[in-house]
Amino acid sequence: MSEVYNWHLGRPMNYRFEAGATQRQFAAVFNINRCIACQTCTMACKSTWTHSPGQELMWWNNVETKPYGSYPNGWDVKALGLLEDANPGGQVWDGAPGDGRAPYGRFDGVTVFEATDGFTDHVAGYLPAEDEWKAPNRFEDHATRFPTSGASLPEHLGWFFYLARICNHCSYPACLASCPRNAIYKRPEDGIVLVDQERCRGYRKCVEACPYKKAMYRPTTRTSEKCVGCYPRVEGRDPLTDGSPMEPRCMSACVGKIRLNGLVDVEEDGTWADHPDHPLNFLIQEEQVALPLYPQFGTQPNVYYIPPRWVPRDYLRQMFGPGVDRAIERYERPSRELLAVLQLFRVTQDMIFRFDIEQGPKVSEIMIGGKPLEVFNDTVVGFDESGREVARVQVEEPTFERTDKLNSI
Amino acid sequence: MADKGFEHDDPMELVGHTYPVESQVEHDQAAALTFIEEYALMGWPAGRIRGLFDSAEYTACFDIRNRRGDAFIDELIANVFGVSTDV
Repeated sequence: MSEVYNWHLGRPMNYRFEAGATQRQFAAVFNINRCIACQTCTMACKSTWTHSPGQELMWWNNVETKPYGSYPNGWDVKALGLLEDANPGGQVWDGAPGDGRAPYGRFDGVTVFEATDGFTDHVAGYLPAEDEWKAPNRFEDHATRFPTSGASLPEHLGWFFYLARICNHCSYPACLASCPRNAIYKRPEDGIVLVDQERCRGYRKCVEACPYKKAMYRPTTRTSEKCVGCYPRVEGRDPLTDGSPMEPRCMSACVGKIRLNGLVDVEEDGTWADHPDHPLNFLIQEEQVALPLYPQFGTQPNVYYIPPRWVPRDYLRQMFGPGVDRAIERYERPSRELLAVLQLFRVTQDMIFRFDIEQGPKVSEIMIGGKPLEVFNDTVVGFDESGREVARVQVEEPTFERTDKLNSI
Repeated sequence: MADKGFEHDDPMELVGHTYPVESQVEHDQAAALTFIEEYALMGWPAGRIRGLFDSAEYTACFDIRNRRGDAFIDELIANVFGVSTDV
């Protein structure tokens, strides 16, 4: 066991290996407030990577309806339960947000790495039964009954939200730490976590260890597989972007414009480099409107979520940690700069490495939370890795409504 | 098709579970305000946002309006825009 620093937890923690030297990290922000669960991301991934025999139950990308749905069934409740059993009543935060090395305060509980003895097992986890993978939307949109008039879908009158999930390409991957074959590795150039199919012997320790359950077993090859981050696109090998890093299929297919993906620079101590003009750094570190999913698991996941503002805060605090209230407050009443950066979601397939804002005129004044908010029609410009302009969009995007006579359908 | 009622031993039966929430949270208002403010920040005018609540194509908005009535929606929109939605 080594001691590594986990900035999500605001403290050092035990991990099987020493922290590696990742120069850049694959990361993303998902705005849950905008997700409509159209599953376009799910199908974009499925049709690209997991459409072969033995992959029928694999959904590297899935969208589940919280709090009812989960894939595999009950994954998060079970993982949280394991940790609670290991440390009854102790899974708490100190509630004092700190600096960039501890923006969410300090987590005083145990992680999946610390809930074991580190000898018999490196990670605390569980292996889902085969049946639990079979229905990715079970308990979500299933018909509740079949009356003579037709099927009726469940109605969530209180609250619910859609949680889109992919592999988090964690900074401290549980799958990697658990592999008895050392078949899983994290690429230093972009932090993408991959399974070496030549070395893997299908022991499924990664499936058991990943608290997000994003490593999956393929019976036809007898190996485990996982999201590959569409690494050929990230490497810029798609001719469409002239060698510039490109977002994965699930990100670029997003209909609801909820996703923004990129590569962030990482310092030697594992914290992110200070680049406030990088859209991901800006959203996650400057404005702190996007938060990691279940940071208490301890893997330092790299997909961040803007939490759904209408959901009970207790539930969100358990899911995203103590930064929830600040994140929602800032998202509800966005700063002038934040409102502009939010327009960058899904305007290009190129990864954006830097943004610039050109100020525009004041166009309206609305009331948010009982207080006035001035809205400016600023223009946000996105640049790719080489500094080439790849996106230019205004806060008030021009729209054209065609008349009925022009409807050709 | 026969009408099939709830069967306790059916493993595929929908198992909804409730989550305790703060009693002071008004769900319809929270949900409706989210829609109104999100679209307002995107530059949509009040009248166009009001249209979301009138169309069955937009289930969430439409259901809230049906449950709570036109006046409820009009008041929320007026509070955000400070104007009548008749414009």
